[in-house]
Amino acid sequence: MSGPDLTPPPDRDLPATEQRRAALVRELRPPRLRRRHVLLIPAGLLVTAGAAWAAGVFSTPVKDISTVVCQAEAKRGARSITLPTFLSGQVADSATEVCVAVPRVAKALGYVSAGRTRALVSCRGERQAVVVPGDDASEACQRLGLDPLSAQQFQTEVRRQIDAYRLVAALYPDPDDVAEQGPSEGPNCVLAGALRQRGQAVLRERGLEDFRVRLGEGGEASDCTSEVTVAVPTDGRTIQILTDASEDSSARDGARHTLSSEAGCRRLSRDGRLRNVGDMAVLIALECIDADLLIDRGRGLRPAETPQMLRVRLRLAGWRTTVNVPAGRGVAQFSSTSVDRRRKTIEVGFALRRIVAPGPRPPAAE
Amino acid sequence: MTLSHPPSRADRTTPEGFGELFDAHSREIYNFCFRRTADWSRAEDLTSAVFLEAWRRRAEVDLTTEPALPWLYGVAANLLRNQRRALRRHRAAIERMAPAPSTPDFSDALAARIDDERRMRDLLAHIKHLSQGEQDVLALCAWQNLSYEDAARALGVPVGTIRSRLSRARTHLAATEGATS
Repeated sequence: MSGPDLTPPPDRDLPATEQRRAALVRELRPPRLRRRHVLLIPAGLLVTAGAAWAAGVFSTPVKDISTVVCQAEAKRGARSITLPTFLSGQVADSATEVCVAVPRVAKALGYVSAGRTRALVSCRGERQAVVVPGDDASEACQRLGLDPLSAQQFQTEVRRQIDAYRLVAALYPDPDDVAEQGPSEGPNCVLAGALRQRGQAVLRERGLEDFRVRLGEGGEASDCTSEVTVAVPTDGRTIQILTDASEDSSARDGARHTLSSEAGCRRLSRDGRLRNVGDMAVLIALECIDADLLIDRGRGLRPAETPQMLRVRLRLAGWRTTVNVPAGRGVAQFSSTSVDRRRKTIEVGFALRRIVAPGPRPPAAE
Repeated sequence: MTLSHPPSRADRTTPEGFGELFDAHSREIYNFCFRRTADWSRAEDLTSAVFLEAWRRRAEVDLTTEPALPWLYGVAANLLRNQRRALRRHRAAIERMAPAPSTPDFSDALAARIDDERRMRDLLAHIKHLSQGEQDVLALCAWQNLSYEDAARALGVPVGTIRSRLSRARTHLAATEGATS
């Protein structure tokens, strides 16, 4: 063809083709095959195993819970409000606590009435915890065709998600990492692809290999970016690295509600209609920001993590965040904010704490 | 390009039969997805999505008489037009299909992949003023070496349309090149 050279890069092999093929075949197999196998188990054996199963269900580690579904009743199709496990898990120890932690959610679903809170139980759904009114988890969950979910199972899983997020989030603020990964012309710049690789490696080292670190949509591995946001694992297993160029799919999935221009914390909590996580995020992140809420119980939040956590919460609520960090090397420390509710923007300022380099080495002894 | 024969019709209706299709054609689809996105990571996900989508649409084609690859290219071309929707639809399955991460790759391979992506982005920038149809034809015929007939089958248009789109694409590219130089 005449004109410019349009020869593309050479073909490459699809990584891990064998594994992907096996996973594809597994994925395409109809679920009824598995069900049929279950039916072949003699009923007597099921009865005998029942008690052992019931005891084991509560202690089996649970993975992959990405949302908490608070339901008005223990039946399919009941009214429900969905909250993300990651954010809500910061302020609650069990799935049922999550559903009553936000008063408007609890009220809307009839959990709280005339000052009394109904008994709630939590069940384990597909990639979600399902909370319903009831006294007996086994009975209520069975009506939904689900297994009971204990507070301990929920906590353990949420802790893993938070740990995974923290490990990845902690990579960027380290000025040494930035300097190592950035190109020569700008020290405050990090290669997104390299950060992703390092994040995945760190997770594997800590036994969190079931989490995947991905670049946000539109982000490139070669992006050298001065701003990185590490997004919450909205699907329970993905941690997104968002660069200047990437889209925040967690925001798209998580925030469906637009705030009115004057809606502030008090108005939202008193009069507004709290319908989804977006509102909760803003409540926590803006006027209702409370140091206690940002501190994970008993563990504390690393100072360097706080601005990132804020940005995650704000992104979930559909806000735009601008972060101003002075040029040069140092440890970024939060210094100021400026909020424009009408335009849904928040500007966060940082100052740099200087890094004191070690002095020159003494000359080697003769 | 020689197109391999598809599995028998009986095989095609089974997950194992689709596994064979994956063996036979995932590499071509992966490279096609990369050449339309300039992103190897996204191409991996899109390749999974193409086969999941193809499975969903398997009743639309008779693979005992039709070669599979053009049809898969067609599924891929459609899917690439709305990647976000497609990835969202198959997101959970794609996540489950993704292999466990292997050892970190800070080596030359990573650098080469980044170079590929940079090169591909430049190429896509060159052809971005072409219509979507012209870009599809260019990618299938010039980059994937599909015959006009197979490209027509993939895109569901007459062979004449493929010829005219390719001709228009060449004319536009030559004009752009002339204007630039």
